[in-house]
Amino acid sequence: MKRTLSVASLLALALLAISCGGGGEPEPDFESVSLEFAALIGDKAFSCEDTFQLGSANTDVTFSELKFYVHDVELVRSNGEVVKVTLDEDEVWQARGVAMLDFEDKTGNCANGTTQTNNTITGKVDGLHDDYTGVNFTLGIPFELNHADVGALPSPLNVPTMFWSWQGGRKFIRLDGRVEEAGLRFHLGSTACQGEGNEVTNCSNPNRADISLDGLDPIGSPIVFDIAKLYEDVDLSGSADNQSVGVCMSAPDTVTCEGIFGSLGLSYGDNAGGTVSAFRGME
Amino acid sequence: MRARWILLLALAFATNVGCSEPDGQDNADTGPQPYKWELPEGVPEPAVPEDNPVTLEKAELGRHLFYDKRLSGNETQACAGCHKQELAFTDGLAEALGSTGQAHFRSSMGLTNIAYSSTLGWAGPATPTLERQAPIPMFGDDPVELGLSVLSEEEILERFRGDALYEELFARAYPDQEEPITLDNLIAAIATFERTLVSFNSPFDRYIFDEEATALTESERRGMDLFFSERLECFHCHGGFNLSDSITHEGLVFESQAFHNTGLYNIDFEGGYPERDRGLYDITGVAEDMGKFKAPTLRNIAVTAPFFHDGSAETLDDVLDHYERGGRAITSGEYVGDGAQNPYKSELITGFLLSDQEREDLKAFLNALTDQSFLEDPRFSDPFEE
Repeated sequence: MKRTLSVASLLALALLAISCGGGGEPEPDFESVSLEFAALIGDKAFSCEDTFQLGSANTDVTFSELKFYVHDVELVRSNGEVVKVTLDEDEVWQARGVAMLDFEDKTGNCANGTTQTNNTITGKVDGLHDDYTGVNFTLGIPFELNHADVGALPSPLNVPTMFWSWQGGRKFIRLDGRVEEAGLRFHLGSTACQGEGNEVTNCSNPNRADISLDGLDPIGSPIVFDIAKLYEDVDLSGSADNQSVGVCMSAPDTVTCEGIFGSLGLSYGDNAGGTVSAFRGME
Repeated sequence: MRARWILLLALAFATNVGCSEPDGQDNADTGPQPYKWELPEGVPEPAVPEDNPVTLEKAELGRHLFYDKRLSGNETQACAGCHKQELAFTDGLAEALGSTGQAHFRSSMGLTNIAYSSTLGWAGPATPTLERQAPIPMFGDDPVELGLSVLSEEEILERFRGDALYEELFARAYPDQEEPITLDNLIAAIATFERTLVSFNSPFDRYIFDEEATALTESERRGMDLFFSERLECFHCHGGFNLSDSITHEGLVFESQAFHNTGLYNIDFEGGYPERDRGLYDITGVAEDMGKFKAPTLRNIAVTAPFFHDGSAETLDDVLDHYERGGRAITSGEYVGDGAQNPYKSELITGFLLSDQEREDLKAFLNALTDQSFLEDPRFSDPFEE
């Protein structure tokens, strides 16, 4: 982390040089793009108040939190060309190439949250095209930023509720709620990390999900995070007898995580991962 | 460490040279000196209201006022009467006792790192700044704490006007004002002193922020791993650099104020808490807010017994019993009921089972959150005992 922090400092200097040196105007052929995300449960919009049916047993759930981070965003053209999106840096929702999407609005069951929400990421691409047919992004925060201290990072990397632990870094996704009378919690993040204090050197399970979607226009229609698909292979019934039935905190060897990780294309135990179902285009 | 210094230097350079516009102003020699926070790298500075910047001089004035019994109606009690430094600014009582002897329905809130708390008191979302909180114990009459409401503003200020010490302290804190001894300035100074009560020098901090691998014993490290485990879930509410989930600091855009029902009571089998104090519910009237309180910082927790909002747990073992069971069962008396079955209980409180060794390790870790230097720091001590 020491080395990467100094890289970050050079980056900060470079950015400053661009923004203050008089040459800060974007090149004329750099075009602004914005990508909208939608959080759905099947065809219903995420809400802090409604009850939804989730999992293979159609169990009743409510939600109290949904935030997630993305980075390394790329657009894919019809000819297969990959166009990098350089994220804007507002140090509110986006900083250091990472954006946070936030769907809880402090209403209803989300009382411990914040009123502000964000469903859009913005950035610049080199050249304007009208034939984008796909999008790539990585769910999570890059390793070199994930374990840096709160005081060293701007928003949204310093959001307190997304800080996990010094070993684990940040939660990449935080999805909380209730399944019947027990907790529904999915916290995606890196596990099996090594290091002392706040110096984390490696995480054996990085758990960053590379999402590639095709057959959609990422500029013209929202990218859907489908929580129904996330839990499609998970049986959420029986929480009265097993309070952890709705809980996946990225630990190895849990039945709940196995299905969820699979839907994000993440490897888990013997499952190699690969196919992403929890993110999709708007149908 | 070296790369971090480079980062700091680079940022300092960038900040000073990068975008600043020459203002031609240099008044470094006159007036109050900006307060220098002593923080480990990686810990952000506290958020400070723009209209009440922290200065050494204002903190020093606030310190005197904090320890001055003239700040109670009957001149028997200072702020420090319920906020004792050696107890991390709590008082060791289950129920705080005010200047007139009236008992408060709550246990005195510790003031460790109170500048980083996005909500003040045990369940008080309506008082987001220390400037707005301080008048509550000063002037409140239900219960009476400092009991100043029996005096007029002038009568309060007369106690300090003409006192050479305070004439000087106020003048140094507010050098631009001809009549600096005002109630607003007095409150702003107390808030400033409270804001400086910063504690980041526990063995835990030396391990985390100073990377001193030997700062924690083996037992304390095992306890830390338990504390930050998904099995115990302590850290979901007592997480982050201040071990609390109601956090604010400089540079933070999204500030949340979180309140939780931890299943301490269930007196009517419908989730009820004792009527004398039902937490957030007493403010909002919303059923789901029954028994919800702030998760305070656990820094210096070992010196702040008795625990919880009402001091109803005498020891750390009692606290661990409560969380281990997933809620407290009260089997006799007027509060009989099983808190584990409280319908408003946080879904994070599900219970766990600790071995004897694990319990000892966890307690060792909680003790390693004690910052002895904070409890003895002369900058925070009683100036009238020097």
